[in-house]
Amino acid sequence: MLAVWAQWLLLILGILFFPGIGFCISIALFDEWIDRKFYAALQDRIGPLHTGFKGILQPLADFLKLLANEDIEPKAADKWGMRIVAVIGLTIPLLALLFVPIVNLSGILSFEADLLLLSFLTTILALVIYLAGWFSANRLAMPGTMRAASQLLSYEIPILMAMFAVALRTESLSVAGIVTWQLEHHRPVIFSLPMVIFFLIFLLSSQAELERSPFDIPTAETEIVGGWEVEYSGKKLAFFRLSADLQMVYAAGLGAALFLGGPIGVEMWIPAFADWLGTGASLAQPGGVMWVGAIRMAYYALIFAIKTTLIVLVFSTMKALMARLRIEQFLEFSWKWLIPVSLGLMIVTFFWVPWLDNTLWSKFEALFPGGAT
Amino acid sequence: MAKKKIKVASPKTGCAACMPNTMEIPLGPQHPALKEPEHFLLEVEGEIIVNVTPRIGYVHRGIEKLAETKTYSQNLTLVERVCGICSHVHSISLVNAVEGILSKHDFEVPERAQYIRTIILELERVHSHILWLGIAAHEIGFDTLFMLSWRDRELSMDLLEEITGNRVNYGINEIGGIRRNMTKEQLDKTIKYMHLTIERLDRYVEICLKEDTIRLRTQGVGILLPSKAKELCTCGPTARASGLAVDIRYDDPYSAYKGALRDILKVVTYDTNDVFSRVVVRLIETIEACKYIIWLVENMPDGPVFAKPPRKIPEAKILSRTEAPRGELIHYLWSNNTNKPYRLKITTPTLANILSVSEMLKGDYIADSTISLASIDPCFSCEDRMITIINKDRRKSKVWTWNFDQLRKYSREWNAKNKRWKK
Amino acid sequence: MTRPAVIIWEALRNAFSRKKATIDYPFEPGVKPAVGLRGAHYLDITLCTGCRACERACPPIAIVMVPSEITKTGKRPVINLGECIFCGLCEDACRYDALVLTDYIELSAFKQDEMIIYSTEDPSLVKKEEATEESPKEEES
Repeated sequence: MLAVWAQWLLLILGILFFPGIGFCISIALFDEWIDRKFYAALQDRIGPLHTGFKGILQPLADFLKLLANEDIEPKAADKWGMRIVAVIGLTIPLLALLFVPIVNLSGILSFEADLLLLSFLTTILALVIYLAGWFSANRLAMPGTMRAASQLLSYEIPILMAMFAVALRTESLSVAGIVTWQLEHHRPVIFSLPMVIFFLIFLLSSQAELERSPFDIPTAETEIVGGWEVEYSGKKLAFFRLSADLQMVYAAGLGAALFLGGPIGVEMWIPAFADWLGTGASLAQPGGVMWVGAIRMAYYALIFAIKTTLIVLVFSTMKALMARLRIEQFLEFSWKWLIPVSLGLMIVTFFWVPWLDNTLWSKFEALFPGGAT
Repeated sequence: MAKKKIKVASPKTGCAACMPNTMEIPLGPQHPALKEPEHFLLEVEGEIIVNVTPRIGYVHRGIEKLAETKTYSQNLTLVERVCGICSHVHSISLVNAVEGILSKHDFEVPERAQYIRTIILELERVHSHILWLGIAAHEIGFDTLFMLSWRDRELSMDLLEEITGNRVNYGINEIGGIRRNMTKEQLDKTIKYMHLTIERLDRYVEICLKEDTIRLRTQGVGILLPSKAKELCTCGPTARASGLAVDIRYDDPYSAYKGALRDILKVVTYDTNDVFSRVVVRLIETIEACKYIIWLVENMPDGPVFAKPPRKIPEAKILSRTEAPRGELIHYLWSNNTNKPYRLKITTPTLANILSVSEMLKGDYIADSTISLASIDPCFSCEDRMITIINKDRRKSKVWTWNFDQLRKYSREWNAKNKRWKK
Repeated sequence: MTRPAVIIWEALRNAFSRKKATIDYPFEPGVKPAVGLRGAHYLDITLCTGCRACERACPPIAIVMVPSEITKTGKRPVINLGECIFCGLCEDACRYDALVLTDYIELSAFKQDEMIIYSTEDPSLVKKEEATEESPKEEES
């Protein structure tokens, strides 16, 4: 057993650097680069090119440049409110990312029913955006704020539905539990039938929740000049931009954890590999082999990066395909289609899936020798 | 228009969505959706616009006055710079006016010059309409269509660059003809590129007709009924999208439209009166323009392209109308038997269409304001003009007008004071 | 039949095709002006007679005559590319083909003086080396 101080040190280092803040921010900037490159490629452009290898440092350069910009605060605005909201807006996705499994089967912080906390954090984010628009006291920010509030709250519900459908399927309310279930059952959740549709709903609603084009109605540049973020400049805008990237990684990471098996890669079907990885049970515990633990951390981080990047690619494809809808048309889509469909699928999951799991899947499983438990 | 000044709801006292009173949202002069400065004051109730007050005059450039100090062939390059997109049509309009005066004195422009002028006119229409499609797509947040359509616009831009020698302000017109002839290779290339453009445009028509989100954003938005369109004197594609068959190329033909081209000319109209109708009219018109170019190239007559005009233009007053990509363009020329115009008056199509915007916007959502505004293809810098108001007290104020003697006197004084202001 | 995301296949085809519409202009060769494009001026001062035809034709008054010792009338044109609109009327006006527009298009400069062709030329210096009348800018083209 390691000493208590060493455990604490490892935890703090973990939160600050490797699977925590440092790693998350770098993967967020990397994903923004991927997003920009792919979005440009879809439009027959090249995208960022000259900062670093093929412009890989461009998001970082943009962030640093925004930090150096002049920070203008309007006279009528609630200045402290604006400042606090910008910081909270950056903190919440970082906090939520600590619960997402990156280098382990569980996140750095995790407890039973942390899925509930994550859903709570998502709602807080909506509130933060609402307050951000409200504090800035601008005529163009007002419609943006109203749009943000209504859009975020109506697309929260399908996301929560998708999250709790997975919880219902795996009979666990913690992210770690869901990931472990997928490892034990040798398949990602998405292979259960209605979960594919839930995955699509999750992606669509995340896109709406992240306020990315074509669902960037609250921040529509050509309509209301940036909506709720119109009065933010300099450091505060940099924080919100970074926060948007982190939210994108958080949405992609959560989607990966819930539907695609999180950081678990090929060992899902190769039990021997999984056992070998398991021998380095934890860095903080004796009995495990230290270097196997280190290899596992790197391997899991790599798989996590690959899966999130794939989901980000889907996000950026979605960005290029459609015209921006009007707010009432978009809300109508949520309340008339997305929420009834996900409600119906919840019921299907509740009644049908245990039967499906017992009969159909076991037959399918027999085809794969590795899948035999 | 309600004269009553409605109090602005401050964000601190109440939100826009739940308060019954209206809020004023400025659209411009600086706005990401507007490429040029122009101010529209939207009075909104929640998200619904109840009243719009346009204000013009931010970029008055004094081109009409400047035109009086330059010779006619210099003026051709000057009036081209009224608009960056429909530049050729301005010089065509002035050239038509001057040649209209000269034609009374047995001066004729060679046929081939007229054909090449018309080819460039139609090429300009093609690139202007594709540019508009991109901007409209950008307004509704469809950036992929914006990028792709501008990529394909390069074909016609390259053609213009090769034929005329410049990409934007072509400078190919001269009084009495054109300055460059088209070679055989250029004619072949034109036909090849136009077929490519038609192919791409067919694709865009398909996208615009099939894409659900575009239809949701454009159908039933910015409605301008035919009666209103007539009342507000709209012109060009805006009028044609409201079902009025107005086209100067057909109604009052000029250049090569006078000849056999008029028989194959189609006035494209559509009758849903909304933004979607304007999209359809412009796209179909672009395809038709490509076909006219192919026809013109195939039926190009041989011969000279330039006939030397007399140095001095006889005294006359003439009005010349042309169909710019945005609508009817009017040049009114008053010559006084010298090589400089005595007075040149330009009325651009946006000035005719801009009033219809406030009609279109009423009752729509704020989100639709920019696409409705973009649907007339506004070109604010072209249409801006200035009025000077003496005495800011409202009751005593009057608009300062010049008569010609005052104007002449002022210009003489100004010239005496600022003679050769450069060097 | 209308549906959303009609453009998807075209967009994906763009994404996975190697050739992109963007040209990385100053770093990548391949941008060439079309034949006959009007670019920077080239003045062959041995042919110039200083007849002021170009000055009179120029619409934005970008051409100004200055004293010179080698032309017939004792004047020569100085061209301000910052004012020039590249209409080519001076080229048409020149009867001796002394002034021509080249296809040299990279005209940006850090100072306004760099935009002026032949402004700093010393007339006495011109007389000594009559063959090479080009400013450094023109040599590039």
